[in-house]
Amino acid sequence: MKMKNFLKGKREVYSFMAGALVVLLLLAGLPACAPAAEEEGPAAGETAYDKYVASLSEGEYPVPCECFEQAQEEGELNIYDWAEWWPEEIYTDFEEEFGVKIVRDNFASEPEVVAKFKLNPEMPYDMITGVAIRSVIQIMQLDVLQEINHDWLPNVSAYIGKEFTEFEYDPGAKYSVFSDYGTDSYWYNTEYVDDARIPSWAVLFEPDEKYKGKITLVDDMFKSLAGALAYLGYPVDSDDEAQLAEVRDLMMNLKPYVMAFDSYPKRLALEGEAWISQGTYGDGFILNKESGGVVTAQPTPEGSRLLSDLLLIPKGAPHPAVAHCWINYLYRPRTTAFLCGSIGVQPCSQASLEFLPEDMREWWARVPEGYVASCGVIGERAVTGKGLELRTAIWEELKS
Amino acid sequence: MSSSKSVGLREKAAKFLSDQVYLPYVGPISIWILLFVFAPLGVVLYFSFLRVGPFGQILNSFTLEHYRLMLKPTYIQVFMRTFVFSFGTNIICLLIGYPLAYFIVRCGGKWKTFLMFLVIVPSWTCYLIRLYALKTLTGNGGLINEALLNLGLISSPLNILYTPFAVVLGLVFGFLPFMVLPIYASLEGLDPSLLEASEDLGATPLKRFFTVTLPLTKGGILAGTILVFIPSLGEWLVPMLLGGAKVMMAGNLIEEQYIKLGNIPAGSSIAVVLTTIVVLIIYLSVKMGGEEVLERMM
Repeated sequence: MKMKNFLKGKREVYSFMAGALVVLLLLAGLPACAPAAEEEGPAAGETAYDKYVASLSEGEYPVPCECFEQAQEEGELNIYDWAEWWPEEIYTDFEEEFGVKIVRDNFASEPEVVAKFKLNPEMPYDMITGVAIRSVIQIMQLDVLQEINHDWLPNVSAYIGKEFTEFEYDPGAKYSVFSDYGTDSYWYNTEYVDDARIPSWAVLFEPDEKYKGKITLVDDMFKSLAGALAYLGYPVDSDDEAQLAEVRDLMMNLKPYVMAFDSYPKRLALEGEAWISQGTYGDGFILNKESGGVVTAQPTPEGSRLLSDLLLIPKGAPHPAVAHCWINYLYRPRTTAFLCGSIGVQPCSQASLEFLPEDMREWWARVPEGYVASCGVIGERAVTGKGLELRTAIWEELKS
Repeated sequence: MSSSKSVGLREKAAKFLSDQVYLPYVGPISIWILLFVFAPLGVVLYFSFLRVGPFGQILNSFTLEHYRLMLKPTYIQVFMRTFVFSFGTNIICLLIGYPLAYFIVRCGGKWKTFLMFLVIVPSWTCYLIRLYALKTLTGNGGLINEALLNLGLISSPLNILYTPFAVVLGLVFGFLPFMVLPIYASLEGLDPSLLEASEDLGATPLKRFFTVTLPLTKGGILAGTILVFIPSLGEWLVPMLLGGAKVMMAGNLIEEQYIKLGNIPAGSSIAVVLTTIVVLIIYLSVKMGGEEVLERMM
């Protein structure tokens, strides 16, 4: 709306054009952008952009005209994401609103994304969704990501929590933007598990004798060991030999209690085969809705690991403006709430909380104040050098 | 001088192409094998010698460090387990498959084709779905445990799922038809007059079986071994689903390196070692007489 008013008066239009011309002269190195900027001014106020701006609800900020018009020209968005995860409406609504076509390609695991980048640094995607920090760290080393233009993401600037933009691996979220987050926890079946130590990690990592063969751990070295590190009071990305030696002993003692390594043991938990399972707090919400007997413990007082789903734009993406429109669209409070409510993850924007289903809002409210800030992430130390080597050795010993 | 030489070569090449009538037949399959077997294997072999950077990048520098991994006790243990499981699977498949094929050939009569059809039918269903079915059957609350509990044969559920036993069970379940088929083919091809002759010469049924039938169907057993032992060596789905990902086989080690850790060179080196072992076993089996039955099956 602001943009519309700004462009209403002729004087303003002329001033805008003059300004654009000055910018053009200053940025002589970018001749391709200049004619577009000259023509864009007068056209923007009366066409598709205007309609787009008018269609937005309260609290939803539009992408700048320049981005919108470029996106209209690009007309397509190639997304590389997990299969059957996000609700279809997220994609179809975007296609309808922006008049662009979304083409999706799926991956089955994050290392698959990293491996694909390693083998072909020029992947023809505009947007990669749902990858974790540890994969992003590896991808960033390959220098295949495009810097994100935050001027084109007013919703992100307005709503993202500051704790999600200031990570060591990517300060200022230059190359990656959180779409949502979660925390690690464990689920237990109230029919079989009665332990005064709940909600401590101790229930999972130093279990009672009676839970032998009834425990499942996440089938992922980094996540599984992160829980053990958190329990022992160490950073979840530790690469300290002595700390990881303690983790090794803890895990080897736990081995006889482990029924299986399963990243989402939904059936085992719901059917009462697994009594205690390592899993995320968000998945716990979904399980609890299906069976009230499966309850989630948010590990306290030890803290936990922050899990991340990030949005990336590869270098050389053929449709970067649409990709920016997409990120900005995902950060509309209602859209964020719809997405997070559908897949059981936590939104990174406080503004979207009010649009979440009530039961989910209550679920998130149970997480103690300041808990997220105290959670560690699997950073560079864990995925490189000694940290990686020690983890791999523990994991292989555990599973061999 | 050089031009006459090149003309000579060209003539020779043209003659070769026109004379070799088999070329159109072997050409497409050779290209196929070259593109989809040897080329990928070549890529895997090449990667297995490459160094890995600190962030998992593949560096263009030669190393043998991934092959040195094979000497790690954990890797040796996993390889040993893989052999024990595959060998066990093969023996069990043979112990079940041979009598089954024998029964079908000897007593099947006009039902022979139908009985063989029944052996093959389960393989028409997706392997993954069959494994999930087995998972449901063997779970603590599964059909097998429920039935045994209800019959009063056991007082608490048997721990079947997520054990080495479950892995071998899954392998046998998956590969049994591949043992029955070649043995059936070799038994079918057995000349009945030889059996009659041995009987006329006074051999007891047991002696006849061990001195005539078994040696003459050795090829079928070897072909069955190729079809059962080899794929079970590279199996990773069964240990993951029925072993709960805690009973690792060599295939899981490769998957772990490739997919979970993203260390393509390390995964490649394990794959190269496994492939070499497999090629060696195939070579030995074919040399020992499996070739004939495999040809007959084709």
